[in-house]
Amino acid sequence: MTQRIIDGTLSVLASIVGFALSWPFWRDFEYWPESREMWWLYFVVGFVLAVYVFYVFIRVTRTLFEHDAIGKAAARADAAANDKAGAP
Amino acid sequence: MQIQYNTQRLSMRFFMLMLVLFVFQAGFGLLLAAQQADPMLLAGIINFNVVRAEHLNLGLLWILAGFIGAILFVGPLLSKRELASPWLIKFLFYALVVTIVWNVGTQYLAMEGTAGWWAGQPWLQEGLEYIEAGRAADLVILIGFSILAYVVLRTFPPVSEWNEIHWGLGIGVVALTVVWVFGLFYIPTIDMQEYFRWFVVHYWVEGVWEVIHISLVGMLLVLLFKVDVKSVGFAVFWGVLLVWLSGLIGNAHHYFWIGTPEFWQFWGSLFSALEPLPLIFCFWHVYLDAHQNRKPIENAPAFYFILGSVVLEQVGAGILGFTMTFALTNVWSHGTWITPAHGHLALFGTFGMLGIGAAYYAVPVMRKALDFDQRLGKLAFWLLFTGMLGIALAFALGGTVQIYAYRTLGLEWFGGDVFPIMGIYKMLVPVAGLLFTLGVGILVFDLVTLGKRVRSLAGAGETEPLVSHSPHGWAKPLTGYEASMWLTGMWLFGAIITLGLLSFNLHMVRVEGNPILPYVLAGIGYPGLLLITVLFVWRFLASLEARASAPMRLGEAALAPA
Repeated sequence: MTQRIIDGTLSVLASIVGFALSWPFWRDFEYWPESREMWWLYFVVGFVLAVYVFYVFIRVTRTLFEHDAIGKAAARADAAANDKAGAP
Repeated sequence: MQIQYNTQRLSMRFFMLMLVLFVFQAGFGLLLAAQQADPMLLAGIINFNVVRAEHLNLGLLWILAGFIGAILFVGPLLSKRELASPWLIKFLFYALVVTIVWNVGTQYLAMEGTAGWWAGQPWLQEGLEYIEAGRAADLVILIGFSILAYVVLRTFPPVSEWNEIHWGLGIGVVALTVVWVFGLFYIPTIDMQEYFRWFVVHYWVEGVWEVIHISLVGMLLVLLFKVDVKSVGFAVFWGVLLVWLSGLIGNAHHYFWIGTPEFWQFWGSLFSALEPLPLIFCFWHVYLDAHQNRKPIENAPAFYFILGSVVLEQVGAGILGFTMTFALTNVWSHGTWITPAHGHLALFGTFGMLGIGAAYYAVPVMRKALDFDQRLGKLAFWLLFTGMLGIALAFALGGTVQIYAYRTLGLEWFGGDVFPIMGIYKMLVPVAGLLFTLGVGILVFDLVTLGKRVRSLAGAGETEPLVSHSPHGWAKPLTGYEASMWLTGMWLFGAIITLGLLSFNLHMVRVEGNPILPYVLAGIGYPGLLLITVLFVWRFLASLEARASAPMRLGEAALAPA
């Protein structure tokens, strides 16, 4: 659970940076169509999706390393067994 | 490793075609660079816009030829049977050759304004900057892609037996065909025409080619390092998913300034900023697979180019793409030389180097020359790698000056005001281009004659490493921690470049006309990024090369440094 909270926090922080860099500062939003609520929905959905993508990235990258560690541990065990079997 | 299926040999002709087209593309590139330096060069004989269309078209075509070669080579291995309908593949090859000759030939008609109008369609040429083909060639290309998709899907086993690599390649070849359909529209208004052209190019490179790239990299790692297909499958699956999660909406960064609603500026910025994530993921996938064990690499040139592909994908597509993807930075950088700096590294680096890497794996196997002399291949890699980084550096620095002169000061491009300001960078492009062209020559000579020359006395594993035989210092095993530090360093330089582009928005630059801040940040960022990239790849390869000179006891090979 702790790991998920850390991953989630990192994802939110990264998304805030992305959000700030992406905000159309120069717009006066005059062009924004009929519904201002729809625009807020647009921003919120964008932010939530960004958090999700960051979260997925962090989780699967960690899993990639975990798979690697498991694979290497198995290889070590096999090698040790072979060494033992081959010893005079 | 021996050839397992006869039809794998059909890939050879596509690899050779790739090399021929690469030579012509590099030649056109060198001519373009010379015309940048001297705009009157061959004016009226072969104009700049025609040379540029040829250069860009051939860039896509040779990469596609490399992709087709790689897919045909790995297809039977993935399917454990011969390729379906070999005659169709031969037909595809000749159709591709005819289309390319036709396409290259008809571009010159643009100088005379002849488009070959019939039934409301331009059958000979369309006068576009790239993805430029008359309707006749367009249709043949559509048929060609359909043939490729048909052959791949017919060759693959039933869908229930597919692994992630099958899915990646299967979806990739179908999507390649479907997205091309949008390139068939001809619309007289240039903005709508641009919209669909961008649609093809960018959904190809950011949605479809990336999928094919990840799948092929995965398959080549399985072949090179005997990596477990299941673990590669995990990386392929999530890599593809991350590409789509970020890229499908992120592609909206191309809708900023072409008349589409401002709606796209926020989502286009935010999601395209996420697009480097799958590239970082792909890098770690390659790093981990290359460090599964400490066995020496048997085919160094193949891995050199695959590593070059994922690193330049990281730097060119990922970092340089990130720096210019926000509407706040892109408003300055679009349409300047900043774009080709990104485009050259991303397109050649990511996709071109993968095709070359696949050729270096496949050609020795097909020619039964596994003990080939690898020195020329390594030399070609370094010349192409550093040459392309040099080209990108010249474009990036020239582009920064161009933004200031053209966008901030509002000087005239056609009035000749901008040209002298960019002069030194216009000279640097052909200089780096010459280095690159030398690499092209060596690469082509090596791959064409590989297995036909008298072999070197030195075997594949006995070639001279780039560095000391000692496993210490520069050649010591590259740990995951160290690799992450290198990666962080690259991104720090990327952040400096981003700040440099953002600084064009500042009052002191935009209104007062003081360029010091963007110049200093670009002057640190771009050379720093490209230098750290060279050092990192050197370090990575040196650590792998050192394996050849550090024999280990039985069992030790299983120990990995990460």
